[in-house]
Amino acid sequence: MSQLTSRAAGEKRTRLSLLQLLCAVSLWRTAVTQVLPLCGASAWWVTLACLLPGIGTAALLRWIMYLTHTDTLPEAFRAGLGKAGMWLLSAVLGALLLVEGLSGLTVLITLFTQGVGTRGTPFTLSLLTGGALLLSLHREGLSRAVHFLRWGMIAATVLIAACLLPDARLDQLFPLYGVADASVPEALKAGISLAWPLTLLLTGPCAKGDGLSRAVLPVFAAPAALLLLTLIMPGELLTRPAALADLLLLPAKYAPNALQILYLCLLMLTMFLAVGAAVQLATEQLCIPQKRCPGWLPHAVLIGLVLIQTADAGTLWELLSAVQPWLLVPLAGVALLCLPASIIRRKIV
Amino acid sequence: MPITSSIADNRRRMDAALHRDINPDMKVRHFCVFGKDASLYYAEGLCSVDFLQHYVLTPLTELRDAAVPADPDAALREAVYNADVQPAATVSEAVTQVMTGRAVVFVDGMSGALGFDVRVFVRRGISPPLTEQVVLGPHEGFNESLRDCITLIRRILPTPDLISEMRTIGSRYPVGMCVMYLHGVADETTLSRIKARLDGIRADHVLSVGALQQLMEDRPYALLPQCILTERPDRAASMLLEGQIVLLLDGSSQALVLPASIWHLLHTPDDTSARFQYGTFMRVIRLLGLLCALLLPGLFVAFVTFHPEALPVTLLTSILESQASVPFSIPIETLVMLVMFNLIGEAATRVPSVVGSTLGTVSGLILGSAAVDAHLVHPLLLIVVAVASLGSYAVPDYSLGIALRIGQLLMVLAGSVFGVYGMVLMIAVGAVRLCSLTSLGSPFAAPCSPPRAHNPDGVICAPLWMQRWRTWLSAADDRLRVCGPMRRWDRRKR
Amino acid sequence: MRILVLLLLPVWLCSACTALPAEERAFAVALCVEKTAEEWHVHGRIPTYQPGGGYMTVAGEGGSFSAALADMDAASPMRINLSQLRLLAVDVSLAESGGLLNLLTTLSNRRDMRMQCAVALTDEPLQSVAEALKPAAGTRLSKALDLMLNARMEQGSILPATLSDVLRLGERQSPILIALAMAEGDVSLSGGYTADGVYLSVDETALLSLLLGHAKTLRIEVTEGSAEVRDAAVKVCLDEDLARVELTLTATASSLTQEALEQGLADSILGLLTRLSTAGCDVLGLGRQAAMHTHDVTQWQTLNWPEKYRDIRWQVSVGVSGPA
Repeated sequence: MSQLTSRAAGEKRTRLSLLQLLCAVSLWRTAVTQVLPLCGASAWWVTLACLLPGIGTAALLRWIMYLTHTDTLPEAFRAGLGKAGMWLLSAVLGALLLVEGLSGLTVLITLFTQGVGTRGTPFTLSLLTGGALLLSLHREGLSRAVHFLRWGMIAATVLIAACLLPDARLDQLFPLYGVADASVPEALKAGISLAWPLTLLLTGPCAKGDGLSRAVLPVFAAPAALLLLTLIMPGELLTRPAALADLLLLPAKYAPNALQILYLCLLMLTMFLAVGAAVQLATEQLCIPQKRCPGWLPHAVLIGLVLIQTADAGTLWELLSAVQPWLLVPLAGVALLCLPASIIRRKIV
Repeated sequence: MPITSSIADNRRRMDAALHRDINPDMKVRHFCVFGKDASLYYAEGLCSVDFLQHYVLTPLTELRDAAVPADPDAALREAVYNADVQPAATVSEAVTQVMTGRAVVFVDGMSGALGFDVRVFVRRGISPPLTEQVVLGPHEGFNESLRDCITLIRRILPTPDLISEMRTIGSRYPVGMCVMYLHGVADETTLSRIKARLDGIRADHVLSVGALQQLMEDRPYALLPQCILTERPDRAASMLLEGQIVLLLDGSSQALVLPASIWHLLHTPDDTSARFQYGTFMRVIRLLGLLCALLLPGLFVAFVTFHPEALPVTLLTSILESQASVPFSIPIETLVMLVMFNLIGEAATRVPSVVGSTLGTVSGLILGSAAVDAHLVHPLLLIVVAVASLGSYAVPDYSLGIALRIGQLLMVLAGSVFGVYGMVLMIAVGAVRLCSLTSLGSPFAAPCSPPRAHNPDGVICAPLWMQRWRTWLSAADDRLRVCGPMRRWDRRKR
Repeated sequence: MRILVLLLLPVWLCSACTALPAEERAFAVALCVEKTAEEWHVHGRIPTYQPGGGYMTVAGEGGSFSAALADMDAASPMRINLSQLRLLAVDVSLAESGGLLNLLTTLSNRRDMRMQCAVALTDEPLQSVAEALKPAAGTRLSKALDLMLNARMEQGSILPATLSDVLRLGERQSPILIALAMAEGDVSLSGGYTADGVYLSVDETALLSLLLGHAKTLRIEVTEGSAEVRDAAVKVCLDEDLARVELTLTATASSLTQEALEQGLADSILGLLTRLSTAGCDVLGLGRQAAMHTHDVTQWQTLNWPEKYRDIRWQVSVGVSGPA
């Protein structure tokens, strides 16, 4: 039994690595593309503030798990609302992950076409990226690969930060409130749902609480990176109107060329793996009620996301940006729906 | 077809089965024992004629005029001096025994035959392994005799817990093989899985351990090997102690070890024979060699073609000045050079030793100074490809070295068409494929990913006294190798 | 499915190929930009990539900077690449007309731009400057420029002024660019220019080098004499409209008494800072301290720091220790 326990613990850790990567990349992408252009130098603490709704929702969901004495969220919803509750949760989480995957893929393709300047239409590059993703979609392989590469990614991140740090100036933190009055509330509104992947992290493999504080550390990578960005660049440069690709390239814009390439490679690798993670997790969520997932489903979902890239990238991104602030709403909604049922059930029990 | 008590029938069937009319190697000696007709069948070359004459025929012919005993079978066994006697109930069993070097005796009136072990094969002596040379550590390697291989391992692990289950493999032309494991240490589930796979192999003949590997692997289409092939008995013994299972095949001088992980492919006996500091250092160098082999040519091509801004300007200018007179582009040059280096490696393996030195001179001249002087190749590229090739040869496992060289070409292709970003995508895809590999169901990238409890003996070679555990591949209830400190004499408190 | 993907991947990869081999690019080592009334002129110094070495100048002109660059690209034997740029020399009249920052921002938006190139201003004819950029015997121009820049910075003759540094100062500090001049047909770097084209002599640049902490050891000239100083420590405080500068250092060799050196230094620094503040050049970055006391950017902008800075009063105190 101890061998099984240690194996389960190993698989749990790889799963956690996958969720951590998804969280970190999602938070970074949303913070840089939605929050930073609006509030500039105050983006780092605005992002920290935007974590709170996600933490609150996750706390609510964990409370539901506690009330229903279950170890996983689907079981909690099944206990609280029955099979319909489980279906509802699966649909909501599946949809959120699909949106996440679509956003990640759109940003990755935009980075290729406009950021790096690769020749080829967005569709060709979508096919290329989709093809590579198809080869990478493997149930255990993807999470294990993320766990395998984690130290490399962390080392690259630390190296980039260390190279940028000498240019940091503490006084560039000020004024603390950053850009004009009206922008911070707008940025808060834009980023209010940016921490929705936290719910996956906090109700996932670490649901039992062992190592929870270490598990959520990658979540703070985005605010920390934005803080560093604020320290190395004056606020007026951070709010200059910029296209999506330019926003993603901003952190290394004034760095030496070799560091720029390292940053781009790290960005591509993490975003690539995060898109794969989102697709895989989405299909798992959608299949939870049926208890089995057909092998072709993740590939079909991925092909669907790739085909969506035939739409105009600008329009697609505008649509995704409009949807972004509302992502936490369905999750909070289902949590509030399940909460009374869970309380009543606990009282009965 | 069961053996009957009629000697004439048995002779006819044996002659037909052995194709004696066209197969002069198959010999028969007719004689009398207990006053009955008898025949002795054997294969020339597989038996020792001396043993046959002195220890089988001579005692049997002395019983020519003896009375028929109540139990002729027992009487024959008692009469003959051989240590190993095996009965054969059917003609096919008798034929198999003849083909494996036994002398099979049929007696008129006795249903069944007896096979006496008089085997002696022409075989190679024990010599150092060709592909796994070490500085420290033993210099014995397996040879093609199954019995010798088993003996070599038994000398290292003289314990009755070392089980060697003999079986044959190959439906039409069977060959002997042995499944070796440590009882109580090897995981029973893994063992039963191996046996089930061996039972499920439907091949007419398995020529070598490499062929067996392809029939046993989880994913034969993958680039990386999921088993270990080793020529070293000490390495096989150390893997047995870790709970792995060793398969030996008669006629092959390698052992197949299952299950395996990527780290087993990177470890050598030198790491444990030397002090742990040196072992760690050598492993780090090997890992650097692996990374150089895989990434260096691709990175060179990617940086020069797509990202020259990342190169120091002096290096870049030097490259461009010499590239100005070379007719080929950097990616083409690199691919050609890698193919040439692989060609040299292959030729060096096949070339007869008498002309081996000539090959070295020719390849050095052609690929070295002549190609550079003729402006066919860039001098820096030569160094890059040479370093990458050295890196692939520094990897201890031969199969992994070839896999690296294939991966190298893929990386160069990715770097040629998509720069560093292509290589990053390739690394991501490669990492996923690596981590999705399994070896008999055990994750191939373990204990790194997924994490498994293991000895501190991955990249860092921990001191031997800290390596008190077996790997996750062994049986769960026998993980601890040593209770208490290994250096009990050391009274210093740590 | 996976086999199909594996077969199609090379096709997709090749269609996305964007490789321009490095040997088909001309890596400009220096770029000179000037603007006349009607046109922009750019001159690029590129290697010839022949075994013997050598450099050539390519020129372009156009109605806008981008047009001029495109013209230069067309005139060049290979496509121009700015990823190995070491020196960007700009005509001082462009700085005086206020177009310098726009130019630098446009250049920084080029994907292949090397952000660590040094920015210099000059009033010499830029074509001559470009032609005069030659490597010392046996070295490459890029290495020669790197060595010259490093040596001058160590001597305190110039201040570090890379494109990255200049742009990242933003609105809270003014950059001091390198002054480029021609002497006997060779290019020399000494002194500085503000972004508005105000010239600073070598001595003034050395003082600024001390004040900004770029040089800890320096030989400085004051009115009455000269001194070698080291271990300089500067403290700058802004108090309403009074800026206090406190400089402490050690003099190792001086032809002046301690008091004379202190007074001479204080006077020189005061004169320099007053001149710079009148010209609106916030070289010490007092704007950063002003920004720290604002709530948000609106308040910072309301403060109208550039105007306020022109009226600032200076108080300079110098403490010298060591042999007189």
